[in-house]
Amino acid sequence: MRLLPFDPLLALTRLIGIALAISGILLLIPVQRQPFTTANGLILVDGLSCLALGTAGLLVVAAPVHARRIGQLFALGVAIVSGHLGGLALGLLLVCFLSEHIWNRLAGIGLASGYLLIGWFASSWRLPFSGDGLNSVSFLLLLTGAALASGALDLPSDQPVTLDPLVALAGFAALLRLFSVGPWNLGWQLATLLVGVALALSAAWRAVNALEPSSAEEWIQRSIGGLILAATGCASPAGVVAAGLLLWHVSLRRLAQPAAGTNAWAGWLLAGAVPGSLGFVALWSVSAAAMTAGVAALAMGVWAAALLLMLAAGRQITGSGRWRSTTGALVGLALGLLAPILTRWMLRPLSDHLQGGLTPYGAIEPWGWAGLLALNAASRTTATAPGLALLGLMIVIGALAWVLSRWRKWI
Amino acid sequence: MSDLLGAIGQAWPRLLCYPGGVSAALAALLLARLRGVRLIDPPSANRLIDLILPLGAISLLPLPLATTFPYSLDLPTALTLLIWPGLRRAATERHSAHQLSVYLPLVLGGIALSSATATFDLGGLLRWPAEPTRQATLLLGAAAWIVAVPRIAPPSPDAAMVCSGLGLMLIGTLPLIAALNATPLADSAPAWLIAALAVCIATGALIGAGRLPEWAVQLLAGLALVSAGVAAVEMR
Repeated sequence: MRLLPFDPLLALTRLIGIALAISGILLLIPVQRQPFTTANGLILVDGLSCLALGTAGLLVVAAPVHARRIGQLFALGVAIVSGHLGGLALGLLLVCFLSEHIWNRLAGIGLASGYLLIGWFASSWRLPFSGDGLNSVSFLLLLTGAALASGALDLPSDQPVTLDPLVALAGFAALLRLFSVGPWNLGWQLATLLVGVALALSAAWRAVNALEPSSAEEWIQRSIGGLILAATGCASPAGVVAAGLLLWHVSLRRLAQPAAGTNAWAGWLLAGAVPGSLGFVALWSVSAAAMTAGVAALAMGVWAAALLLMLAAGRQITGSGRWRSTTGALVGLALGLLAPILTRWMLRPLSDHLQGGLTPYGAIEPWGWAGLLALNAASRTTATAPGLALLGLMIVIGALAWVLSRWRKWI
Repeated sequence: MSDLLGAIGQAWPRLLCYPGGVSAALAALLLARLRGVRLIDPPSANRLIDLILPLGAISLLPLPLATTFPYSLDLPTALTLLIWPGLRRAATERHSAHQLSVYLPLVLGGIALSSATATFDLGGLLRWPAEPTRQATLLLGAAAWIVAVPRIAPPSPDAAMVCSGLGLMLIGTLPLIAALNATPLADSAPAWLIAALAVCIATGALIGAGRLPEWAVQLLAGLALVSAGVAAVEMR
């Protein structure tokens, strides 16, 4: 017999998740100009901390309830606000070891040992002063850990196991945090780009071939994970902004759960097939970041993966509208149209605070109210996403076509 | 915000006359006739969106003599809008993944186009590059792009598919306009004649490509990819 009229664990997890998501947003206010550090630099709160905390909160609200989730959240919080490499490594290890899937422990070992090795070789264990400890072995361990955390091991299997969203987030955050340590060399960037695009394309292909909506959704999440790796591999302000937008997109998909049933328009909005929606803006930003980094072939490869993702999500549109998917689609449209403001206010601190490790090859800037622009190192426009402008024009064209159709009695 | 509203308000010549509106409708009818389609089905109410998206993309293409519009499209956005009818159909009719191979030459052509111009901006396709390798890449990319269109948008009475094919062909026309503008012909001929000539060449290539064997299309796309690789290495 239940003593309480509700599940206390579910309520507690959701309460912590919502509190964390709100804290992630509120913490952006004091860190807009510069990161907040205290306890002699042991605690560091910057744009990446805010993004990771906010996203972790949203992900845990949507994830299946389990007591270990609270432990994972705590460990991720420790890792992401730690200004000490030991704290960062310990937090990442705990997030992965508390996961249900034993294979995620491999990812944890990779991520933690990567940072411990950097600390071992560096003159200081403090994050901002450990740049001299960066080495290729550490990088490879971190990249392997991040790829394993995003479900790369499932690619050879027919049915993927359920992706642990907090482990995947820990992998992305660990890789992005490497920019706080120091700049990457070209080989590391290329390796991350290639691994990311390969994972995105192969998982998107599997998603298109999947028969069950739930299975397709698992592959879609992995493919978006690959795109986040590719965006990180661009090692530019545009790349980290794209990674942030993709994290929001994947969180929204997890919250809206389109695989459980959705009506057609909401399904297509959540698929990212509609220009102006959050999904479209996020997918476009990765492709634009790759283009501004000067790798046109990979940029087009990223867009091919994006088109496959749209198709895979579109194929799984079934059932009738549910309030979760409908609300999620509307929120996604609103966030996509407000992308210029959100990019300036919520993602600018992310790129500004990681600036020390980033190259100047590409930035994503607000295009007034109209949408987003991608600029290359010479500040020339290389890609444009006119979300609000395009929506306005489409409404005008739609109205004209409707009037014409009524006049000709086609409709 | 006033800039945005002003730009949308001033976009009516593009939406009503050229390159969208009347001119797009006439061009779509003509292209369909040339491809052997006699009658075009009018759009039904629930399929109006299929027509609006490619029509919107055509209206915003940076074609010569079109009125200026500050918020232009880039290649990925235009591609998504133009292939929307095919994408929606493939999703709702649950086409097998192997049927998607028809899009491969288009993607490889897109790689060549963006490698040659080093941008996704569609306006970049109208700038003729100085280096011979990039010139060859641009032309091969345009050729691969155009020959992919008959398989993506086969002759059909569906108005949305006709507009989709027209829009994709017009993107492939942009590098041809750039190439013709670099010839001595551009000194004597007006801009509209150059554009018309490029559209005629692209239309001929599109109709001819429908009869090309599959291996020839794949070979052309492969050549475009190799050329893009060489151009990328040279640009480094």
